[in-house]
Amino acid sequence: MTVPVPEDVLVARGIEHRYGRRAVLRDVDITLRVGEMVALLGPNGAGKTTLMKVLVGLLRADDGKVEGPVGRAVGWVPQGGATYQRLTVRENLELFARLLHLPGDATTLAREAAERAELSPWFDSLGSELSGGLRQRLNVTVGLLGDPRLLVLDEPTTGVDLVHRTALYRQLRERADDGCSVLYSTHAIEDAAAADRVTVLVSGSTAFEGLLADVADVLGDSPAEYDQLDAVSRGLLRLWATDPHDDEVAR
Amino acid sequence: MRTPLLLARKDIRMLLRTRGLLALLLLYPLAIAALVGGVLLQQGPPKVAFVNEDLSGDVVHVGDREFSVSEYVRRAERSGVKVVDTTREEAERALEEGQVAGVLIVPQGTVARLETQLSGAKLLFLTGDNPLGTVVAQRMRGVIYNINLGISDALIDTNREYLETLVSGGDVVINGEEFDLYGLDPIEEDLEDALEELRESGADEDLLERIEDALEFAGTAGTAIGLADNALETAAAPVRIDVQRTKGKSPLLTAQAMSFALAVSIAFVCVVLIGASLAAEKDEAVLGRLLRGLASGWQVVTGKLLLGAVLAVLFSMGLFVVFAILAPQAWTRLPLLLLAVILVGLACSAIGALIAVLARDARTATLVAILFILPLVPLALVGLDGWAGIVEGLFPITPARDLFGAVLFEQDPWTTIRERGAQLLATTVVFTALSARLLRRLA
Repeated sequence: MTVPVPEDVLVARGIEHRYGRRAVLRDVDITLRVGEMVALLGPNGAGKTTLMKVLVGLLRADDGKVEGPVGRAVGWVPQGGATYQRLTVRENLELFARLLHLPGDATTLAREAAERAELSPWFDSLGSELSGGLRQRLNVTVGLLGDPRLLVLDEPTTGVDLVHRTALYRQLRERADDGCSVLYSTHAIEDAAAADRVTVLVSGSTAFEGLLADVADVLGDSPAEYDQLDAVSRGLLRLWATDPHDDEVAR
Repeated sequence: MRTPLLLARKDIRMLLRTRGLLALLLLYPLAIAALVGGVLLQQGPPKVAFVNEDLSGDVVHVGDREFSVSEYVRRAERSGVKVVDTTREEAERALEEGQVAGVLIVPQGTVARLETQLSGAKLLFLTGDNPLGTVVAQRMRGVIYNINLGISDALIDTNREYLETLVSGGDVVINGEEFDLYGLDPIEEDLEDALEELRESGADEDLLERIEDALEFAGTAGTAIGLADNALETAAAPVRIDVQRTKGKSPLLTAQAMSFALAVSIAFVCVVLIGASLAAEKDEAVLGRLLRGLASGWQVVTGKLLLGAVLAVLFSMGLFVVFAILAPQAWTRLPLLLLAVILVGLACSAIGALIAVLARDARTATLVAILFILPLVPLALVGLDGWAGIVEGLFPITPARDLFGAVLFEQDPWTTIRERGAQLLATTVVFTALSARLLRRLA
């Protein structure tokens, strides 16, 4: 008996992007399979947001190829809330459902989406009245409207406490189990732990791709101040401190 | 169009929830109206310079009557025009500098023409090529109508006296010369006596027939002249006015103040609010979400233009009601005014959109929008010529001021509406295209 190999939902190869003369992404490869959760891990300025914008079609790659779903089949969850603070949860969900041209009554769709995201108690609350965690949950819920095949989230847990963070990853895992592929960026190891695989991006290039636990394999001699950290964190710090364009780095 | 409408409706809903801004939107037009009203009260009625170039004075003698042209001109002050006596050079300079709205000139020989009644006299009215000039010219036509009425009354009375003397006989003075007229009635009586005596003396039948004809003519002529009395009462106006348009700055009065206030207010509201509104979407990261397949750059900018048009209409209606109390003639132009307000609102919103696209955040966009509008306000007030004027025309305040002036006060506003409307439409299209193109790149 053969185990079926999940099909690829997104395949990006040799992605390059420049802002003026400055190269932000250099020969980046990334692949997502159906129902897979992948964390895009990297320090600030590594090019995570730029890569995600290229993958969802907001930016055009200067070189390379992206193959994957387009339009309504891709849910995009940007940083910073990305919903209207002076609209209620219901009005936000109705507006984006209408803009997506989803079939059916917008209010019904909004109510169903809010129930699934456990946002019903705040259905008629303004966005400005929500906590950071709830606002981020609304942001993700808007991204999930229309049941996309691929959900791309840019640092979804920034400013979110542990309770809401756990609820968020539970919500994402449920969607992944339903067949939605999830790609999210983060610079926190505990967030990456929720993913099936991680891709580590450093200075615009892929420094590591695989299981989070395997990041420890790249650990070599490390400074004494890293001793209190676990092996994965030490491996990650070692990766982040390395310029992939100067040294050969384990992948 | 569904997407821009959805986005505009969302913006209006959000605006209604921003109470501070809403209050500002309601108070701002009232503040502008109060300022303009203050200016109007300080300025008083429009001034008209009066120049009498007739060296024989301004008192016209018609028959045994006399009246002063300047006195009739001064009656214009009752209809809200201040008349100032001056020389022609001084008057033309004042018109050029915008100190007076028009110049009324009584040319040399006017009094003599009126007194001799050989031909009608012509007064000259110079005015600036502006809406106020039209209003003042209409008032001066009213003044001339009154002068005509006075003169025609005097002429009718004098001519009646001539005709009565022609019928009854007696002394009459024409152009200073005294005549002793025998009169048609005495002639008729004399001819009747003569005819009777000739019949009794057995005169020639042919002679008697000729005298009978003369007698009949005297009777008919007397009756006809009697009827002419009534015809004289409907005599035509002996004086015409010739209005000539000259270049010159117009004084800041009702028309200019209203047009200027509307243009500046809409420009401020649309450029600043639309700029801030679009930049805020960038701040809240919603713009990136919209542009990823939910709406195109064109649709996002068009949504903002629709919001700007709605704001402009709501905002200007408040201002309009205040002004219409000062100048009731404005009510008749309400539909045209709505069209003008929408055009101006669209052009100003397109500029606000471009500022938002280029600015880093909402605060910067607001500051840049205010800094953009402020220098245009005094420039639109004084008006620029040459290249500076062309550059000024690229931005919406001056075209908006002219458009409102034409819509509210010009008798035939269509030329200005076509020219300025096209200018504002071009501004809208160019700035919208730039905003939509740059929006995606900068989101």
